Formats: sequence, structure tokens, C-alpha cells
Amino acid sequence: MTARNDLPFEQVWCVDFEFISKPGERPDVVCLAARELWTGRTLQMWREEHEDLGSLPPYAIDPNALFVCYVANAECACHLALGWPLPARILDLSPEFRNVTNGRLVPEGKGLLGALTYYGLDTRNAQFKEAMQKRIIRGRPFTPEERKQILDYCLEDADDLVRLLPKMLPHIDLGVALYRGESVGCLALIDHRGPPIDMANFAPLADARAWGAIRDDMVPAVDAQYGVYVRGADGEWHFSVERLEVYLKREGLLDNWPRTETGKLDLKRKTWENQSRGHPQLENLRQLRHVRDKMRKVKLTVGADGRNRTVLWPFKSKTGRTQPKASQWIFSPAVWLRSLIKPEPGQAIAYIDYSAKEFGIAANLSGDKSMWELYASGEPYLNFAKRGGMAPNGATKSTHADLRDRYKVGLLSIQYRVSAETLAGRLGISLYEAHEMLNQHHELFAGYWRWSDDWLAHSLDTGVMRTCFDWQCRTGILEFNERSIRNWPIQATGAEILRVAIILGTRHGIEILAPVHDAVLIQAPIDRIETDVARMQQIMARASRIVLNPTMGGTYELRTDAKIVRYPDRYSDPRGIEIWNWVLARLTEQATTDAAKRGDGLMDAQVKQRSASSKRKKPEPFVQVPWWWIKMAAKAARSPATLVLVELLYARWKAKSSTFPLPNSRLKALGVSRDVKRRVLRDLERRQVILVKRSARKTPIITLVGL
Amino acid sequence: MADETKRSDLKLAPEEELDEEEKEFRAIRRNVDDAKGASAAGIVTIAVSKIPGKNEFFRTHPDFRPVVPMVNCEVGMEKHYFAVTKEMIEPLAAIGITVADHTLYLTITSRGAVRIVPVRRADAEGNQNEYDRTKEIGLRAGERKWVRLYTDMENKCYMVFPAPEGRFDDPVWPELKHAKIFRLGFKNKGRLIDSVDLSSVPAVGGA
Repeated sequence: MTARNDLPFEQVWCVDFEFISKPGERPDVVCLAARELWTGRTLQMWREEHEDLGSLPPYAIDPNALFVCYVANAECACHLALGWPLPARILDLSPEFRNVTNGRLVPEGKGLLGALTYYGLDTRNAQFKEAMQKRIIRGRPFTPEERKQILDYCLEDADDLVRLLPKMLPHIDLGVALYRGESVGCLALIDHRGPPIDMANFAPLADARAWGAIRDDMVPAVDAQYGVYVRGADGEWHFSVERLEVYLKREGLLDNWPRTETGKLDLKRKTWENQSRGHPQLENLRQLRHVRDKMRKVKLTVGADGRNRTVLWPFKSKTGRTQPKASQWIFSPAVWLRSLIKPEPGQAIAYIDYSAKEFGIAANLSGDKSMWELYASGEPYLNFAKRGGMAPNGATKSTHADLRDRYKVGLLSIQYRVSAETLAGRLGISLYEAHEMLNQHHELFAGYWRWSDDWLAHSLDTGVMRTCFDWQCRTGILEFNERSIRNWPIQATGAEILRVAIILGTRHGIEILAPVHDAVLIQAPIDRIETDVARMQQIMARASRIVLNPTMGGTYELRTDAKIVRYPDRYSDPRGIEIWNWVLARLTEQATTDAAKRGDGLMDAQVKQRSASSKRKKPEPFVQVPWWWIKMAAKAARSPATLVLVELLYARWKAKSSTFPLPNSRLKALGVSRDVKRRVLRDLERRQVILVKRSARKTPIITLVGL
Repeated sequence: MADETKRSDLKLAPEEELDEEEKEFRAIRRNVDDAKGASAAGIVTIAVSKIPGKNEFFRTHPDFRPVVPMVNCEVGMEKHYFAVTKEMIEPLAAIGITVADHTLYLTITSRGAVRIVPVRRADAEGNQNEYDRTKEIGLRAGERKWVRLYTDMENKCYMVFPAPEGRFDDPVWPELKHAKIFRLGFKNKGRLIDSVDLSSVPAVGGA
């Protein structure tokens, strides 16, 4: 029996809901059951029999009452779906059980039955539970017998919590558990909202037939620059490893490409990710492969309200990060798909991420002053390259974007003790250079390495790793991997920072739509977005201070970057723009063909909308102006920026695409120097009017945002 | 916690409010610095060498400074140092092996390599080899800043070069007691001559 001293609450409610779950939709609550721990008071309520369960929960949810459940995101989602407020104090036994067993073998799994078994408690038949769940998911109508069965089943779940709670309490630090519970509640709220999806373009992608055609057509279009796919006798496109070898050889990447033990090219997902980070020219091929191998269907789960929702699975990863199902989640490896994120009319969204977070956390945890100084410089990756003489002193993020990306990949890999061979492969540098870089890192950040060695030794000696908020992982049972152990504190601390940021953000009224590794996506009305972004940035900075400093007033703080997208613009990831533009053009083309086939000669509303989004939303006033005049006027007004702007529009018209190269030569002919061009482009890029893809010694590729 | 927002009106969150919330988190936060020094427990040997590392920047431990009678011998390309207990000085002298006092310095390179560097002390008349004297100057300088030794063959001495200011962070020393450092550098490697069994000293007819 649980003692009142262990749980200092007036009421302790063990609660379980049953609900119908449809992909992308909020839960459709069927019933609830709850048992109060001190009095034994029981509630069993069928939704239709209790006027939609009322406007408030039938149990207390104030700070004097404890809400106990298993997988609180589901229970909290039910609260929100019913229009109820979230409980003030949530004790979710699921993350607590995960925390106890993280790094341990749990043969019966980490669900409620697994937890009961782990603590030696009787469990119901798993098949019975599965059958009940299946019946509930099938949905209404329910017969009176089924209602009774489901209500009893629901109460049994609540009673399981009553039995499990005293077993788990000795392993729970209540203060920390309530913090974790609040974070799960916040995630339920986030999932309740979900990122907004451009339904006009999502609908055809979700259609298996239409998507199948696009998926097939994507191969020749994207593969044109690689030539690694061949069409087989079956009419299907097949990936050719031999052709890939030829391509890699042509690009000078073959020697450094990792191979399997049998000498074949290593084609694992992680390898592709690493290689394309070091060699951006591979990014489109990586995404094409993902589309071909993993996306026979677009399984993104989007509700009728146009919001992407999937279970975010808090604490599912070893490091305590959320782990939503990739195929259902908009922030999946298919980065081009992210262009489907589009704010609703009158709304704006912002992507706010911690910059160089892992580097900063490593510097903080190790107390390595040089590392922190480099982080504090604002550009650790490029400054590290400068120290090693690999970048000129004047190099900046915009002038040496590729080099910076390579060093970013390199530095993060080195942090986890990558070998010189792998590093050389990832960065496309010689083995000698890789050794140099490793030496440089060890020399410059000796304090980090001492700490990392200490962490490894301590973790293996004591058999456990912990964060400052007591998220734990056992070592020596399942976890032996040196790199993984060295990486864990950095990832787990990153997870804690984001958790604190999400809690504070929610408390301060920020509408968070999604957690994305080290970032959040938020939304606000257009006229408020900048303030909300500033507020969220302030909160994220404070969250990092809370986690990284042992006392108030500590100075370790992580920076954030923000990217705002206002309606009617859409979110986009620079890595996915090319493929997205192609998909968009293909969708428009397909819609036009379909409309023509129907013989109506007119595009339906959906087609019009899609067509508009690839060109303009609707005909808007525009001017035509002779070139000679604008040239003369810009010179008279001493405004070379005007010439760059007009040239951008002209180049777009000529390229018949919003993405096009902008060579120096044309602007030079107009009297605009490359320095002025660079300055104007950087300015426009900062204001998110354009996106610029830069490659060393190559003409920048410009994308006009919103045109 | 609740869905409804408590936004004031497009302003930043009041710092005092965030301070209060920070206190809430501080109450459950714990420090995770208990790993500090853990890897030192795994150190089972410390190299003893002529210099801290060829052209490598190093720092010298400010406290570790024992004076030990020693004998050294060439083994292949390497120089091996043997510490000698006081009782063994005379028996060694009797078979023609000269024992000399050496000051031991503990050094760490910028990459974290820890070494003991013995330096032969001046004799009773105050004479000291120029290499030893200049090496000691460098090792002493290493107490305060990062330096490297360079062998000046022409002048038969070491040159001492300091690292540019701020190039390296302060050194992190393994948390080992002085006695253990000595044990790892000599005794555990069989390089402490404390008996007449000299089988491990090739220069005097050992294996």
C-alpha cells in the first residue's frame, strides 16, 4: 500500500481512457475509467451515456491532485480532444519505467504489461488486450455487451496502475517525475496542434496512383545528373551499384566511400547521410533512394483539419529524445516533403533551432575552455578550420558554406571518436588530412578528451549514465559501444534542454507545433510572430542556462537561430528545394492533364490552387519596365541593389523556374560588382526573400521564396 | 499546466518570472561531475623518457619533483631508466655501475600523453651536462606555460619555445598520488633495482 508521505497529494487518480485512433486525427474518446488511490472511489464513464463526458474532468486536476497514467501523451490527448484542461500534476509511469530499464533487457516490452511483468505482478492475457484494442479501433457502434466489456477492460488498466504504482515508487524521484510528466503533457498539446500541411498538394501525393506515377517519373528527372538507375525488363527502375561506382569514381569519391567486410560499397542509410553531408552533390540522390526504397506510399498522417499528427513517443530513444514514426512524421528523412508545411491564412510559423548545440554541450560538460571559446565565437566550425589553416581568416558562413558544412560534420564525428579512415571518407579529404584534423582536435581540446575518457571509464565502472535531470541509461548489459557511450551525455543533455524549453515555452503561451531534434516549430498570427520568436529564443536560452549551469546566474548559454515563414509562403529545407520544385511542377502538370482528360477544359479549384502556388497565388498588379530605363534610374538613384533585384526577376522569368543560377558576368555588364552582388544576396537571404545554395568556386543557385 | 495561454502582449517573458521557474528546475537538478578523474583508475603504466615528446608542447606538474638515484642503459634505440634504492647504490658501484641522482618531472603533452622525464642533477662540484641543464630550464618553464624542447645539435643543448598565448587550455592532470605515479613508472615495470637480481638490466648482463 502506498503511504501518503510518499505521495503528498490530497487525491491521487489513476486514469485510463479508451479511444478510437485514426491516422492524423485527434483521439475519439470512447470511455474512461479512474480509481482514486486514498478513497478507492471509482469512475467508469461511457462517452455517449454521460453527455460527451462533460466540459470538465470528473476528477480533480488541480495542483493538489496527482494524475497517474501510463503513456500520458495518450491520456492528455484525450483531455485535449474533449476540450478539458490538462492536469496540473502528471505522473506518467511509462517514462519512469523506461528510465529504470533504459539499457536493460525487458523481454515483455516497455508497455504496461511489460512493466507489470517486470515487477512480478500478474498480468492479463496479452491476446485479450490486443483483441480489445482491435475492437475499439474498429469503432462504433458498440453493443451493450461490448460497452460493458470495454469499460471493465478500461478499469482493469486503471487498477493495474494502482498495483504498479507502489512497486515503482521506490525507484521514482517524484520531483523529477513530475517534470517529465509535464513535458509529456506539453508534447500532447504539441501533437494536438500538429504542423499545418498544404492539403492542396498533399492530397495527390497521398493518392497511391498519382504518387506512383510521380515516384517513377522522379527517377529520370533526378537521376539525370547521376545516371545510377536503370530501367529493367519489368519496366521498373532499379538502382545499379556498378553505375554508382562509376559515378563516384567520376566525382573522385570512390576511394573514400566506406565498404562492407566483403568489399562491396556500404549503402546503409547512415552512410548515405554521412556522405551527403560531406558531399552535398549526393543529397538529391540520397533522397531519391529514400523515395524509391522507403516511400512506396506517402504515409504522412494528416488529419482532416490539415494537420500532421503522429504519436511523438516521448522518451523512446535511449537518450530520452522523442522518436516519432519517421514515415508518418513530416520531419522525416525525405526533406523535400517538408515543403508541404505551410502556415494557414493569417498565420506564420517559425523554425527555431539551437546553433552548434552538440559542440556547445560538449564544451560545457567537459569544461574545456578552448572549446567554449570557439563556441562563443559564434562560428565554431569555420573558426576551427581557420585555426588549422584550412580556411582563410576572412572566411564566413556565406562565403565558405560548403567548407563549414564539412567541418561541422567532421567536428561532430571526431567528438565521438571517429577513425581517420571514416573521417576521410565523410569529408572527402585524404587520410593524411584526416589524421591532421584528428590531431588538431586532440591538441586543441585536450580537456574535452580527458573528460570524455573519464565519462567512458565512469560509465562502464558504475554501470550507469545520468543527466542532470536524472535520465539514466545502464551500461554493460546492452550498451558496450564506446562511441555510443561517449555520445550519450551530449545527446541526453540536448534532450533535457529541449524538454525544459518546451515546458517553459508552453507555460508562456508559445504555440509549439513540433519538436525537431534540437529545434522547435512554432506558430503565431503574422503580426505577432516576431515577438513570439523573440520570446521563444529568450526561453530557449534560459532553458540551456538551467541545464548547463549548476547554479543560478551561470554564464553557459546556447544561441538559437530562427527562420520565419509567413502565409502564403511555405517552409522549406534548402536540401529539398530542388526535388520539391520538381514535384510541384509535376503535380501541376498531372492536374492539368487530368482536367483535360475529363474534358471539362477547366481546371477544378484544386488544380487552380496548385497551379497558383507554383506560379503566383492570383494575378496581382505588376509593371513592365524597359531594361535601359531601370538601369539608368538605378544608377541615378545610386542603388545597385535595385539592379540585382530586377536581374533576379529577369533570370527567374528566363529560367522559367524560381530556382536558377546567378552568374557574376551578367551583373558585371550592368555595372554591379560581385561584392555588391554578394552583399545584396546575403541581405535578401537574411530576410528570407531568397534562398542561396553556394558551392565553392561555383555560381550561386538562387531560389526566390514565394514566387 | 494548462492549454490557455497567459501571454501579456507581444513582450518578452519577464525575467523575474523566468527566475522563479528556473528555481523550480534547480530544485530537482543535480550535478553530473562525478565522472571527473575516473579514467585515471585505468592507467597501468606511465612512460619514462628522455624528453616529454619530440617537438611536442607540454606542461610540467608543479608538485611532482622527487629526487631518485638512477641508472640508465640503452636498449636498442631506446634509453631505459632504472630507479635504484639507496641500499643498492654500493653493490652496483662494486660491479662498476655508476648511480647518479636524477630529478623526476611529470609532464603532459597537449594531446594528453603523460610521461616522467628524469634529469641528471649536477654533481658534487656543481657540474651538469648542458643538455640536462637546458632540459631542466625547459621543464621548469613548463610549470607555468606550454613549451616545447628543440634539440640544438650545434650548441649541444635544448632550446625552449613557448606556445603562442591561448593556443592550449590548462592541462588536466590524471588524479594519481605521487607514490602511484612512481610505482607505475618504475616498480610495476621492473625498473626499480632493489635487489641483487639484475636479470632485467641488459647493460649489466641481464636478459
